[in-house]
This record gives sequence, C-alpha cells and structure tokens, in this order.
Amino acid sequence: MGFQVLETSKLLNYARARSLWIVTFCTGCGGVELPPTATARFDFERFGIISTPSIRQADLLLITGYVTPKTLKRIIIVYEMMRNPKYIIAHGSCPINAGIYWDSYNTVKKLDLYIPVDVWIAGCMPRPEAILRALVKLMRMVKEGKALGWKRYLENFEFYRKNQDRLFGKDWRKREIEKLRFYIHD
Amino acid sequence: MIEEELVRKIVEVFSYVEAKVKRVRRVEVKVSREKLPEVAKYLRSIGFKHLSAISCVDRPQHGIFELVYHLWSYENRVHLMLKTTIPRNKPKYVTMINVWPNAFVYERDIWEFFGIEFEGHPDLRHFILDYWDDIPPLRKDFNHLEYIKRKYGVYDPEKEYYLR
Repeated sequence: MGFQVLETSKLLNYARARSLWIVTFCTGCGGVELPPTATARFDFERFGIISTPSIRQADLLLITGYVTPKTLKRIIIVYEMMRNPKYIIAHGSCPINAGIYWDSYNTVKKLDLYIPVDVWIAGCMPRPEAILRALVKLMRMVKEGKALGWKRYLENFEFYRKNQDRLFGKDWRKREIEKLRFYIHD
Repeated sequence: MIEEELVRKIVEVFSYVEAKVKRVRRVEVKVSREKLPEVAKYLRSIGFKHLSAISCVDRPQHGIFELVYHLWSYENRVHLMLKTTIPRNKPKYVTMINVWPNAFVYERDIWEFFGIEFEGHPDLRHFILDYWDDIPPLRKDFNHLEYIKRKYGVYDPEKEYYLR
C-alpha cells in the first residue's frame, strides 16, 4: 500500500525530479564531459543535481562510456546498493551497441540486457549540452512518473540475473564478496 | 657518437650479441634467450636503470614470441631495445624482477594477454580480464568474432534484439 503511494504521489515525483543526486562513478571516456557540465559554464546544480560520494543517498547513476565486464560487475553492485527509486542515464553509443568497440573481446555489447537504462544519449562523445538535455528529459520523466527502470529491474529480475550469470558465471556474486571480505568490518 | 661507443662496448664484453645503431639515440641489441639475463645485468650496471616497458610480438608464421625490453639510460640519454625470441607453444621465460623490479607489472600484463609464464614471478594473476576462459586475447590465432558471439550474443535485425 505504502509502496503504491510512493510510486504515484505527484508531490513526491515533483520533489524527486528536482533533487537528482548523482553517484560519483565514471566509466570510459565520458567522465571528461562531466566537469564542464557540473561547473560554471553549464552548471547542472541549477536543476538541483549534485554528485555525491554516497551510493545510498544517490538517485542517478551515469554510465559514461564503454563498459567492460569487470566494470559491469561494479556497476551492478553499485546499482543494487542504491535505494529505490533509482535512474540510469547511458552516455554515448558504446552502451547502446558497443559503438567502435563492436568487435572488442572485453566490451559489453548491449547494456540494457544487464541493467535497465532510462535515458540513452546517442553520439560519440555527447557534448555537455546533450547531457543537460538528457538530464532535463529525465527530470520530466520522473515528474510524470515514467522513469520506471528500477521497477522494471524488480519485475524482470530473473531475466537480468540470467544475462548477468551467463556473462560472469553462476557464482560471480559470491566470488565478488570474497574479494571484498578484506574491507568489510563486523 | 655515444650510440656507437655503447655498441662497441657491449660487443666487446659479449661477443655473441647482435648490436647496431638504429638511429640517433636508438640502439638495438639481439640476444638468444639463454644469454639475455646476464646481458640484462650488464646493461643495468652501465646505466640502463629504467625499464620503460616490455613488449611482446606474436609471430605465428615463425612459431615464436618476440620479447622486447625497452631500456632508457639517464646518463647517456639512449633508448636501448633488448630483443629475444621464445618458442610459441608452451611459452616460458625467466623473470627479470631481480634486475628491474618494475618488470613485475609488465610481466603480469604479458602473462595475461599472451600467456607467457614467467618463472620466478611471485604473483601471476589477471589484471583486467576477470575469469578469462579462452586463449589469451592478443595472440594472433584468437578468434574475436567467435568469442564475441559466444560471450555477448549476436544482433538479430528481424527481432531487433541480441540472441544467444
């Protein structure tokens, strides 16, 4: 019941659209376009967007370029650590169909098979104007309650999980936890 | 010229090496794989303290891997390429960590991308390719398209989706 209210409440959607916090996480070459987007000339803070080092308090994950399987593991872990609702913007042609890395052995070809993407930006590399346009579009979608990638992930979790397992092997989550065990304090 | 002096010096000490001046500040030295460690130690002692990189060239038509140690001398300002070849099936070589410690990283990298085992290297683990399950990818006989189709699927224009 409470869940449904969260989804449909116009007031909450209005508020969410105006305080999208970005996880400070960059892949590939698109991270270069983010400092100009963030600083004085294009300044995305006027939309209420800031970047935060805390995954738990963030709403928006930017995939800023090509994704290798090793990075994709981190992306999935980060995405699953974020609280609902959460959104993803994919920059450039690499997450769409691997772009110029179409025959690379270490680049994920279609990102949408592994995590749900809300807004795609075409181009290689998209300029800050294009990123701002995507951010504004995402804000509009959030306000209208149409950015439902996080819900798609919950509903089709089997599908996404199957694709992830096919790429990394069945017990990849356990193996990643084993790697992180050194850093976990109890 | 400092390059020719160096070549003369190296050939005097080791009569079996092939050394020549490629161009200004560029010297090439070719050694057989058994003799490379002692030549490397000598080069280190005459000023080639900096190992810039180790590159590996795959030559399947000759059945060899060519290892190139790129050395830089701060005193003479000369770039020296120390070259050797090793056979292509079950490639093995000795580690150079005791001569240049930073060979640790380069040897691990070559092990990952060409599959050359360096005996005496303490930590041969994957850098980038987690849980790699094929032959090393930078070998010439690695089939990119076949691997991609198996791993990531094929784009089907009729269904507009990636199939596996």
